[in-house]
Amino acid sequence: MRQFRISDRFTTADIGLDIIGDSLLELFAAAMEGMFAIILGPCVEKDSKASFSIALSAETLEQLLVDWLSELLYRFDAELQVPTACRLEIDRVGERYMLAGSVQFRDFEREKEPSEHEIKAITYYKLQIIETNGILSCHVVFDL
Amino acid sequence: MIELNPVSKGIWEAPVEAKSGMLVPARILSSEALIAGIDQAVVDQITNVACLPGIQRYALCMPDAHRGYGFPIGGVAAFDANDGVISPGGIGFDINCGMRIIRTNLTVAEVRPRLEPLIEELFNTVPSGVGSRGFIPLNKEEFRKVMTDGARWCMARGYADDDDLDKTESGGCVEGADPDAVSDQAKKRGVDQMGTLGSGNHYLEIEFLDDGGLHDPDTGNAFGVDRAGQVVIAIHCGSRGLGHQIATDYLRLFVANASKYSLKLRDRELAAAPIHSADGQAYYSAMACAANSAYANRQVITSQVRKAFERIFGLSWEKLGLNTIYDVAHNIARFEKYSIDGKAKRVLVHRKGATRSFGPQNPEVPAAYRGVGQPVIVGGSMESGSALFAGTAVSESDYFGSTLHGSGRVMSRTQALSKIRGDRLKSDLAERGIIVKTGHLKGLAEEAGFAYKNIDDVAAAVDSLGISSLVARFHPLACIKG
Repeated sequence: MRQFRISDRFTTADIGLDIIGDSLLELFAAAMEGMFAIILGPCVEKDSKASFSIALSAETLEQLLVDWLSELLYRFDAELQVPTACRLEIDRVGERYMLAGSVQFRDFEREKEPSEHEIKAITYYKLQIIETNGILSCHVVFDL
Repeated sequence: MIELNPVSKGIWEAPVEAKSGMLVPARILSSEALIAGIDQAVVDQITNVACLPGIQRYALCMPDAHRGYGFPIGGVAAFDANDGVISPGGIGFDINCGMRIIRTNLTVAEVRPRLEPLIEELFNTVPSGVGSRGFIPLNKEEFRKVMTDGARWCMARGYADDDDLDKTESGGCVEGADPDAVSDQAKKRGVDQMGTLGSGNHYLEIEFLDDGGLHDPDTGNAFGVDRAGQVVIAIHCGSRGLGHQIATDYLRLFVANASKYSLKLRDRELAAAPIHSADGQAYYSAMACAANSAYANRQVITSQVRKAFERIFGLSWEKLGLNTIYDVAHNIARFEKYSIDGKAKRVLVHRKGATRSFGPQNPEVPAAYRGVGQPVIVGGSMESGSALFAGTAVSESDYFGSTLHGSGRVMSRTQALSKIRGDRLKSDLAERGIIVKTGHLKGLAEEAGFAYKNIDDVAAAVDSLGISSLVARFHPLACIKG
């Protein structure tokens, strides 16, 4: 189970995202889908062109979430790749959290498809992953 | 809740006792009307800034302040160049986001009949919006030159002349840029974006000097703004993906290394490193690359604007008088010297949503303006137009040569969207004689004028404080929003 909701309750100039998931993998997938809903708006195109591998490591889960979204944002901004699905594993190894897996993507056709917001960066503002009755939740604020 | 004490007219202070760890007081420059509505998050953020090592005198908030990440937007802080820190959160994710204003010989009466084709031409000539790409193919070596040379690179490529460089802050080039301090990701994110406007609150606007809009004719004359109806062009944008990625990269590094520098982080977005540490030096060098790229970006856009005007009016840009009045950053850190406790001291001034405001006789001010002070360009909303100020000696002596940068948002994007639709706003503006061209109507509604503070209230506060002096107010005629 995963959900996202676009919200700007913590910002006046930018935009945020409430995400929930019943596992870390679902939470991270919700964050990916939510971020691209902010960038592109409601989007039905799901056909993938190819996939790329990803491997990240961070000291905290929150940092791992920022790194995950930052990598996807970089791929969009530099390569015009829109992720359509992800298959991830997230593990704690010693003192660090590791994310590894693959992301399917399609090409963004900027002349043909609508878009809504240019995200500059993922912030740490109010960023905290919380578990309540087995459901993980987090609020992510994006700098526009 | 931190209480603010009035210090003198237009100045409120949180003393060092207001929060544990504060090294200097925090001062908020405002007006009775604006301070009443101040967001407590701004007070919390600026008092956090006052806790950073090496901070001098006060942590400052300009009258257009609103909440940011780490520093508030409108935050200014100076750190001792020897034992102070540098913080990406004190500069922002859009390094050298800034403003340029270009004068013309044209009047609103001459431009309005050709406004529709002109704005169409500008929209087609200056790429804007999500994922937009520039028209200049840059290889790795050429992009390194952009990062090290800034607007000087534009001169070598025919996108600028001597006067453009003279009228750009620091000649359009911050010294100390080192492309080796910039990640490959940052380079890849920025290399295709030269000459693009971006999105969000970035814009290209055609404005004119309204009747009664010239508040200081002598200074206006020095700046090349001298008659009612005169048309000017305002450009607001920054370093694009290059700067966004540099900020992301170094903020991450500084958060990870906070314990190395024994810095107690009150807010991860305030992560910092000693200026003279390897991390601090690397970030400064990378930040300078982004700053230079932004100066070049606004210069290339200027060149495109000139071409568009030439095509529509059939005259050269020189005959049309499209000269740069000034180009200035409002998200940057710069080494500057100030008298502190009676001694000249070199400090690293962080300005995040704040503009340099150097007064008359400052050698950094272009020779043509040295008698009146540096032009300060303040962007409003697309409904209010821009304001042109002159820097002052008061700003230099009391506020680390700083002033405001814009009018500042008061309403979230969702709130703005709940009040008006983009198509309705566009037609309302057209009825008021303001043409808007955008690829994204929802984003237009998010940037509606009522989502911002009244620029005239902010301008009055600034003028009254003496941190810059109002020269001219411009009325919008047409706007391109990314």
